[in-house]
Amino acid sequence: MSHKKKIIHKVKGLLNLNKPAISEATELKISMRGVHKNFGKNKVLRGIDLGVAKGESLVIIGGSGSGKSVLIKNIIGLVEPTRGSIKIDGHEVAHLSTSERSHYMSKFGMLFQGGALFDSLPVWKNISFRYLQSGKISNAEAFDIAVSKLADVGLGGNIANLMTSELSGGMQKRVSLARAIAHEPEIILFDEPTTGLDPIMADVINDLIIKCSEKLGATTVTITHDMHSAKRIADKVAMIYEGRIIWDGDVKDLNRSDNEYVDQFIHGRAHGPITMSLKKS
Amino acid sequence: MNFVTLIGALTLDFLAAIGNVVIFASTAVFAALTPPYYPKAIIKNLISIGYYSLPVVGLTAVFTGAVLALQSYTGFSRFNAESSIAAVVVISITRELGPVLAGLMVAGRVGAATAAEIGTMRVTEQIDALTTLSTNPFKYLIGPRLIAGVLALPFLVLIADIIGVYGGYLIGVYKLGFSQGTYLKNTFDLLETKDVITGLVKSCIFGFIINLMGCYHGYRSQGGANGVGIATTNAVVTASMLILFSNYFATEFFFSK
Repeated sequence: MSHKKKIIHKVKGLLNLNKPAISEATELKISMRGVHKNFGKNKVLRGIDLGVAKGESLVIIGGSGSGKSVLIKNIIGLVEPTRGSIKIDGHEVAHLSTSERSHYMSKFGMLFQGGALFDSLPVWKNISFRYLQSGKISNAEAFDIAVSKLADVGLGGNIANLMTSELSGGMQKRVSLARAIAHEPEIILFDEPTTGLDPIMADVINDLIIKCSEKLGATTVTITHDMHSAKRIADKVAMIYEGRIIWDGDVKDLNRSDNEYVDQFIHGRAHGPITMSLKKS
Repeated sequence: MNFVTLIGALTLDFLAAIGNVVIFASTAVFAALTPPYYPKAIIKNLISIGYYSLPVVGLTAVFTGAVLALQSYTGFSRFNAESSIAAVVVISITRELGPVLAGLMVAGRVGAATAAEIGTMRVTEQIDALTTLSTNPFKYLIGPRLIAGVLALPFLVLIADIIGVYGGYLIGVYKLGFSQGTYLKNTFDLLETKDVITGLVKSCIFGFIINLMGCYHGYRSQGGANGVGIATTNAVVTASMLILFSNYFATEFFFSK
């Protein structure tokens, strides 16, 4: 790419103009348009446009502090956007009240980076938490559901009565995945699912994510730094940089994105446009 | 930053903090009073706040009553007013020392524990996880604690009143040489129902303040272990200060003529 082309590409990237058109198919499960999020004077998201089709697996990549976690929390409603539109199944959900939000939360499951298991409850109550809170099933039924979900993530029922602090990091991640899929959600969000795991356990988690998502036919959004994980899980990939989506496309196009930010990130190079901006800050 | 700017910034921060506490308290009270309710969580917190605070509150009360009797004797004996010791002990304990000292001890024990627990849940994303599981954290975590605090403190204070007066009785009878009958008669002659009731009403307010501050600072904690530590400190300090402030205004309300 010539120097002039590179500059034009960089400017367009920062203005979010050179991204390929997001599929405008009618069956967009998740749609974000012009989403901004500020924390005081800190502008974290600066106009996110993103669409995820039903049943699709989107992986969002980006460096630390680029806004990945805030983006995913906007989708599920843990953070309210400063402005912009977020639609789930065509319904606007960006500024719902607490009671309205709890209704559409049932569509979601989320795997948190650190697991976020309730350390005051045993494993089975963590997995069946939503059922237990609904008050519609007995403890015995909730226990059976938990054991069944543990089997789905490759764990035995013998750990159901353990406290979460008695589990290894990998097991906690699997239990957290079991909790996320327990109510068979339509959309599953994964927040850095392989962070902190050894490569083998990371691949086990990748396999489970693919298996569980396919079994449920769920739409998934994953944020990760782990390029191996991204390539295994994704149908589509989007890269976020300085609060904007600067590239998105099919995972097979990731290695020929013609975007120097993406190239630098996926190859893990210390030198490039991302490092330059870090030095500036 | 010049002095005037600094004063302005501090004032704005202070007003913002009050606004945040008021909004948090309103949300929490609404959550506590509207369904769904979590009776198991309320009972669990009642045991944690009430039952497990009994030793520390009891010890504080018995020694406070004993010291009050001793010090009163030292002063009153100069004026031959030893017979007033029992009345001073019972009125001081029931009106002020029982509720305030029990409140401060519970603020140290329960306020800190609440802030640490909820703060840890916040920084480990357990509170976010609750929300994603269609459970309102205000209803599940904060409402039961507020209810338990308001219900448990009066019982603790009632016990503190009894133990505190008994501490004074022990010193009065076995060290200072009062007869049992005289000491008890002096105790109950001047004691009015209002003295006990106002102390219990104050304790409800203190129970609310302690748990509100613990939950508020824990809920807003950020930044890992350091953030949880700061939240815990702030919970105990603000709860203790608010107990003392509110005690003054409650006393002014109940007893000023």
